[in-house]
Amino acid sequence: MTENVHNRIAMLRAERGISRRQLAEALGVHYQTIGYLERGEYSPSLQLALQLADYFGVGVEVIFSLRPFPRLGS
Amino acid sequence: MIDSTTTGNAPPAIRTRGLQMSYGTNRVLRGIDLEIARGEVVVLLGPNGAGKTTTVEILEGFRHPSAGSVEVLGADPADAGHAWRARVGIVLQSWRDHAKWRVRELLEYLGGFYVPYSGAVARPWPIDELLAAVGLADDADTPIGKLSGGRRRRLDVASGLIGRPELLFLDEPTAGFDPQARRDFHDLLASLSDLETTILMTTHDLDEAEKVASRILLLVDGGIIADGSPDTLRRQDFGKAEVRWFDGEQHLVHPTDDPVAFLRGLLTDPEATIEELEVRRNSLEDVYLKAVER
Repeated sequence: MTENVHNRIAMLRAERGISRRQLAEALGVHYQTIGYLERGEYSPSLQLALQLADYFGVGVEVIFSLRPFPRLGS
Repeated sequence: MIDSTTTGNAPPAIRTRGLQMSYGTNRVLRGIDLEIARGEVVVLLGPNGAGKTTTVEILEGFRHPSAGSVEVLGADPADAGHAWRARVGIVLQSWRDHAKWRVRELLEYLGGFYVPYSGAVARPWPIDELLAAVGLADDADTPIGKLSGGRRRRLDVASGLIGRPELLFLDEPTAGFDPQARRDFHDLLASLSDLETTILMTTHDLDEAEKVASRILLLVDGGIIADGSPDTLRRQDFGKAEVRWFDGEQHLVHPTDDPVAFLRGLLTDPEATIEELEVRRNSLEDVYLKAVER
């Protein structure tokens, strides 16, 4: 199995009330690709990762991590 | 689309000029000019309420346009006779009659109407050949009420084909088909097209349209907003490309306006592992949804 990069795209998207399709259009990817990225099946290219961070207005390390993100409230 | 070198001097199967239709003050068709050559497989796409059914019903002779002219197989469908009707096949969305009849009985009954119109084209289509062509060979003696949804639909298609039509209208013919039945049906359409049968089909399945159509008409708000082969329509709006690959550790995705330049960079690194390389473009569905949203 490949090394896992953990991400919080789905969480950020839900929190901001942004649909998969809206995010896909903003980034220029297919909406199914958002699902692939959220599930970690695909990793974004560095450029795409930076675009994502830019879109949400946060640092890349807020979205991506080599270690699992701590559960909220724990 | 229509090229005189491919159509020769044969008159088109369908020709309309300025076709308009209003129901009361509601304008459903806003002047449709259309020419469909013999042997074309044309898929009519459009959202619900765009005017697809109205267009098809005018071409079939079931409705009179408010304005404009229509010619189908050289005649005005509104006042064409039985001999004309024998050359046209129609598969409606669904009909649920004759539950107790057996498949062969219904087709023999329907086929009987075509006997007087047999000539250069032998009519009707011999039942066993037809059953084999639509994949119902094992159901010849099955009561119609006992057929599964997909098999019932195949019988609808067989009913439309029994008279060996020169022009076939299909309204969502593969609704309820499983993928294998759908593929078989696409093969059937291809073989009908080889026999120079002109086919006009409506569907909501864009993947299907992309596979079977030689030409796609996109009808929105009573007008044709796009007309071309599936590939032509896709190329009109390729959108951003998505490059996907596996670098030996992870699957990566990168969106780009210029996939060629990106790939040049990616592939020149002799050390890089690049497997499962894929470039993804807009599908017909993406193009359709954008066009309909406008």
